[in-house]
Amino acid sequence: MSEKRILVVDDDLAIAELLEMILDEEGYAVLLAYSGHESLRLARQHQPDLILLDLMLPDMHGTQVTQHLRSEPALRHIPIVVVSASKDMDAIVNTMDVQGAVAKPFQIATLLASIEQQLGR
Amino acid sequence: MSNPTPSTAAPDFQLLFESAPDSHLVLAPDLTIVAVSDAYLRSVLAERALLIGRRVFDVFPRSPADLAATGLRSLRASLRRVLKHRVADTIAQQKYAIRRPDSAGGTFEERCWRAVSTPILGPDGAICAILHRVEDITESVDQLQLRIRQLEIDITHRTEEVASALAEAQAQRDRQDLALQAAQMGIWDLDLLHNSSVRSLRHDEIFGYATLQTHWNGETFFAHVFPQDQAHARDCFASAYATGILAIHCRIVWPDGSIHWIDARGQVYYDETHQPVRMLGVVLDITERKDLESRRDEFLAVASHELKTPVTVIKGMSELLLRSAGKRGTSEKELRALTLVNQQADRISHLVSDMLDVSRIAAGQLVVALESVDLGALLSDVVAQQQLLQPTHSLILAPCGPCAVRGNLARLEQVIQNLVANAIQYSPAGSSIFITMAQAADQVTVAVRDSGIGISADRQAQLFERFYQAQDQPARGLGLGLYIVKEIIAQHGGQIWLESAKDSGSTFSFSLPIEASHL
Repeated sequence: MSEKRILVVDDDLAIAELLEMILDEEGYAVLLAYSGHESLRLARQHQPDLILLDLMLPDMHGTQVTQHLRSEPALRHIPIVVVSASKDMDAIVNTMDVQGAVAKPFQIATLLASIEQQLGR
Repeated sequence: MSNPTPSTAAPDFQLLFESAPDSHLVLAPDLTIVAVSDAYLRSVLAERALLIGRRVFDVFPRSPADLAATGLRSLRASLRRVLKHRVADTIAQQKYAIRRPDSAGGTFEERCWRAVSTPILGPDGAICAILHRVEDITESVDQLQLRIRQLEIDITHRTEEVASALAEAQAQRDRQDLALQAAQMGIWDLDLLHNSSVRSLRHDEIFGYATLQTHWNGETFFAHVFPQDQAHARDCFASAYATGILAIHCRIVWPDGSIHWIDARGQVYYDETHQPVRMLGVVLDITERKDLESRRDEFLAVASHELKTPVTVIKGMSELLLRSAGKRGTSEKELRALTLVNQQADRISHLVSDMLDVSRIAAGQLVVALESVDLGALLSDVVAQQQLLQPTHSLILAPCGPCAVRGNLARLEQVIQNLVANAIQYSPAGSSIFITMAQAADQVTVAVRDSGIGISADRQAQLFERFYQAQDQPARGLGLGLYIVKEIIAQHGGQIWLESAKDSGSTFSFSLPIEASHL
């Protein structure tokens, strides 16, 4: 059984590290990206099984990252779960083509349930 | 019978007349004094012998104190009328000073009299005598004058009061004018029948003009409204015609192309057939305020984001360690420490959410995105979830079926969670909390009842206020929970209330309108 690969996109190093540790503990392979452009590059390069996406990135907004991913045939099927501390997350997520949303701060169980729902684990 | 008894003999009329209690004078038609009563003599300080057989105006000369002799003149006129018309004549008030006897100094004393002169007619109809009756009204006249004087003082005071009230009203108008100018309000008065208007210069300045425009009506206003706010502005006018009150908050475009925010308020006037004929109001440029508001919202968004990020890490890391504690053989003490770190992170997280909610209330953005919510199902979910988190209390939900309300799921969940959490917090461990839902007509009511410490009547009203903290309890949180709950319920068109007494538990209830299509 091949290891599922998750791309974590968050410009906050501590959050990225936290997510990496949580996912690692669960047996996922983790890729880290700290900006929108980096996330697109890693996605093209590694074709992850799922993307955990922050909304407020230094170079672009999560909505733009999503639009780029959805415009590329090789990437458009990848499920995206937004993980954000934005006060308007629910309203923003409603306008995006994403599969899930988890508000920061989160319960680990909630985050994992949202990921597993997409990966069918 | 040489001495007839008085009871059978004719009375001595002379004696009777003279002893009568009233002051009488009998005059012959030539005004000679014929008879006088003792009372009269007493009141004019005179002796009978000096009066009888003399003419009245010889006896009562002009007093030096009354140079104009109005008293005598009015008596003379009165007697002349009696002689001429042969009917009684009254002098309502006659001033006449009497002279004290020489033994008493012979000085004059000012007196006031009421005098009635009645003609006594003989069988031939001619006057045979005049009965002149006087009454000393000096004292009552004095009292009257005193009262008049008091009234005058009174009226002077009241006039001063009214004058000062008027002055205050004027001062208040001045202040209002000043406030109006200071607040930079423009004034407008739309004539809906003639499609014209009267405005202050400031009104037109707010729309970007240096001078008053010659032509302006409702459509001129709409022509200035920012395209995206057109529909909203027209809705506001339509609702103003229906309710009588206009309140518009929208953007306008100046002739130079710049965009400004305005706040317009007004009142609609109708004719007898309830047709709107006139709208009168004020307008204010609120661009600066809007800028401040958007900067505040931006700050709150950033502050919240920046606070939540480290909390996420603290909470996540402690939870991660707790999850793997079993594998690593963590000590009880370490486990306790990690649990506390995790709980405190949750606490900070709730505080941040509450602060955000309060800023949303201020901005009127607390409840957005309404949908059909099954309140019965939501209640079951929240109660089950809270029971898992709080095994110390028994949560008992009375059976309830589905019930659709129009609302925001997350916000209604927050209300139920908050009420249940409060009930748990303020009642002893091991006690039960009862939750019920009841439908009546077009309303559904949810009640959460605990058997806790209760709330005394004087504190109940403050409970839903911002920053209120329960007394006799260690302060927990910012005191925003029930305030937010009340606002959420209010924005759903519902009501929230409390029944409680000290030491006998509390019942918090809220009611919401049932969704119309499900009635």
